[in-house]
Amino acid sequence: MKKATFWQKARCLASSVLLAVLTIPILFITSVKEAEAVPSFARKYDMSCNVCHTRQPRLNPYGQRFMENGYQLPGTADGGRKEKHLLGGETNGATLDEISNYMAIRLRADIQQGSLREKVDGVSEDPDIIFPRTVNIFFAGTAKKDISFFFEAEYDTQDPAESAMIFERSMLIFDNLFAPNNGTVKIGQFDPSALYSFPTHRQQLNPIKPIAETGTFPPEINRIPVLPLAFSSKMFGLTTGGLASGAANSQPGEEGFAILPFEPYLFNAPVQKGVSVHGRVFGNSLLYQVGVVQKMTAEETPQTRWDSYVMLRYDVQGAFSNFQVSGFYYTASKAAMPTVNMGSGPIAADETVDWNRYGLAARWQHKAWDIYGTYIADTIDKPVFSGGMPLGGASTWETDASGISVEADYLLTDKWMLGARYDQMKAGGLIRGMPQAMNAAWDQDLNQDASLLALIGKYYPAPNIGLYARYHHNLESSVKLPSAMGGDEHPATNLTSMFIVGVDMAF
Amino acid sequence: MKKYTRFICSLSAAMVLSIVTSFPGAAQAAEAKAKAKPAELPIKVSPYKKRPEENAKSVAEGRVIYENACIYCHGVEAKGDGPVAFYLSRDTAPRPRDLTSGIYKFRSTASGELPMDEDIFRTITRGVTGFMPGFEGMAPADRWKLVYYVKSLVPDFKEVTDPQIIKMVGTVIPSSAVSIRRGYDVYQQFKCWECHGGGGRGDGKKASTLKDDWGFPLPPRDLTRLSSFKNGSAPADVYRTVMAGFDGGAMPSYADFFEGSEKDVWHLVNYVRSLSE
Repeated sequence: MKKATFWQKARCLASSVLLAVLTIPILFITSVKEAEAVPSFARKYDMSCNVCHTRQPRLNPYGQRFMENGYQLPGTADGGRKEKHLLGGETNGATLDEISNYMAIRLRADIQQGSLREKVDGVSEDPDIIFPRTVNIFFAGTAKKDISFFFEAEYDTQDPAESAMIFERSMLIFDNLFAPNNGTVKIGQFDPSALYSFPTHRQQLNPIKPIAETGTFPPEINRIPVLPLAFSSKMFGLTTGGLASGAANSQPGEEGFAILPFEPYLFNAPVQKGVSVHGRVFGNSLLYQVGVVQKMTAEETPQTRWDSYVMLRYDVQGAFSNFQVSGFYYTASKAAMPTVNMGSGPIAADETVDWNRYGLAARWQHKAWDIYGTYIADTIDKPVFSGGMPLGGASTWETDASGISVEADYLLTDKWMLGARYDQMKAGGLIRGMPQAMNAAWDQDLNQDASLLALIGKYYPAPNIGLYARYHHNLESSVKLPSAMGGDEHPATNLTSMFIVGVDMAF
Repeated sequence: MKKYTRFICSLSAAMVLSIVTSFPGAAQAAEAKAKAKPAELPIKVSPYKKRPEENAKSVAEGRVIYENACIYCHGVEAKGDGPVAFYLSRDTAPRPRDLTSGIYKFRSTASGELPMDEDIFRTITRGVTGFMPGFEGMAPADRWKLVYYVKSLVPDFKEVTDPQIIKMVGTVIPSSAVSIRRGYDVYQQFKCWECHGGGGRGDGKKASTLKDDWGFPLPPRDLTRLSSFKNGSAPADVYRTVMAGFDGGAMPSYADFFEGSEKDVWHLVNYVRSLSE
């Protein structure tokens, strides 16, 4: 692997800065005068985006309460605006609203430049201009009093999959069952952690996904992602199972077979199919949430499995401030199949492992400050490889993993927000495929920890348009660390930094 | 390539659908909606007949509703210091109102007076465009309880027995070229342009110097955007705004200046509303 020279890196960085300098004023000039249109909820209620967002896309306490009430104003069950058109009679007629009160579009584009210790196939160190990166189309609102719907289709232009457009959220919501605030039921696909104190995956300004080749096992992770690492699965060596011939699960070399240690998983991931109930039966300060997620077991003959979770959140308000603390517990039985690959093909453990996740989060907002953090821990059963001896049985595993993500944002002016984020992942799962004594080349642990520090500047020429620049520095990159497979740099240490300028806008 | 084509087709269809159904655009649609609102005469004592009794129990129930719906902006002690207040506006007015101050922007009473119950009810129902949502989806009885709770925060409400109500003299004068022309003259005569600008775009020479009672910069309203009028855009709403002013804000009451020539206010209303046409 040939390393980039200092001057090559400097040139790349300079060109990306130049592009940013050119792009930001152009976006500013072309958007600031015309950025009066705002997304559907804002249109529907004639509100500024900042009523519900600290700055979009991050929700403030009122936006959280709006979401909690099934996308109805807190304390109301509006069923849409009263100015809807009534077509036909009162009994059999249809009431229709302006479609712009229900439909919105979110566009994200950016210029990324990552610096690596060693060059890796598929990862360029040149500025990568991606316009657009992601397009989201929303269709959401209230159909009737206390019946809401939310559909969000996301198209990721960088996703190599044939079907790159997914419904990131698609759900029906039945609000205020039995009594106001007592029980709201969500059915469909959503992120279970939407009510958790740490802003969800989708409330981040453009999380950068990992670059990985999943066509092999173990998968080649060419570049780690830049997203809240506490959300990630953290476990090396786990798969969705299905090694047996004819198994219904994905096979080695197929999309979705390997569980990437760096991808958002379980409670803190989007597109989870299930049902949840939340409400405030214990008073206005305490929010409960219970739910189930439907998935498939990692057995050779997969069965439907139902993961379950419970979350509690305590809110308290003061002068110009809001404090909340949350805790959750998520359990998934037969969730993963531990697998090792010594070069002679994948060897699966005797049995699947159960996976438990729990987490704590706190968020404090006071005047211009918004500070939040989460600690999320994962545990799996100890893998058993009696049938795969000696290779699989010789592997060593760590059954615990944890992650921390902490961010602080400061609203410098109405238009400028500065932030810093720290992410740490203490990895778990497969440590070594075999004892070091059997193979001296394997002189490093596979499940390498990762930690990143980011500085973030955001500029909002209009509440619905965010321009940002982020610099992420990999705190683990100071020490050269070969991969456990020998040779290449471990992905957790290979990325030294990531510089991103981008735009996130919603209409 | 296939997936791009499919996506572009889907996106195009969605955009066409959106354009066809909401043409000529969200802003115009909102303005059309605003224009369609009936001229609600705020001096009618009780347009909302079914109101619960005002007593300690309804005030307490109002407090519960407040904690559910209002606390995030107006704050625990209703001093306008909720956690969202700063995000709503870091550097400029309007901030959420301090409901304990006894200073009310939206009234049909004389400047300096406390508002009528109906004024508070109307503000809760309609909201303030751009800043406070309208709670028309809240049960009317709950809105009344909220009114009672808000009143309980200001002891002076108990002493008001005969509020000085802005008189709405005459009926709405239909808009016409003659009326608009007269309204233009009134606009010039009372120097509305000093703040709102010659074209009504909120860019008058004093615009950048205006502040509210709490010292926050408060840019005057762009009168060419009917849908953004915070106190409503129906003729009666604009009339009320001109005559009552915005206590705590920069817009003064012109009731004394127009005494005996209230017809000119209706002409001014027609001129102001014509700016967005």
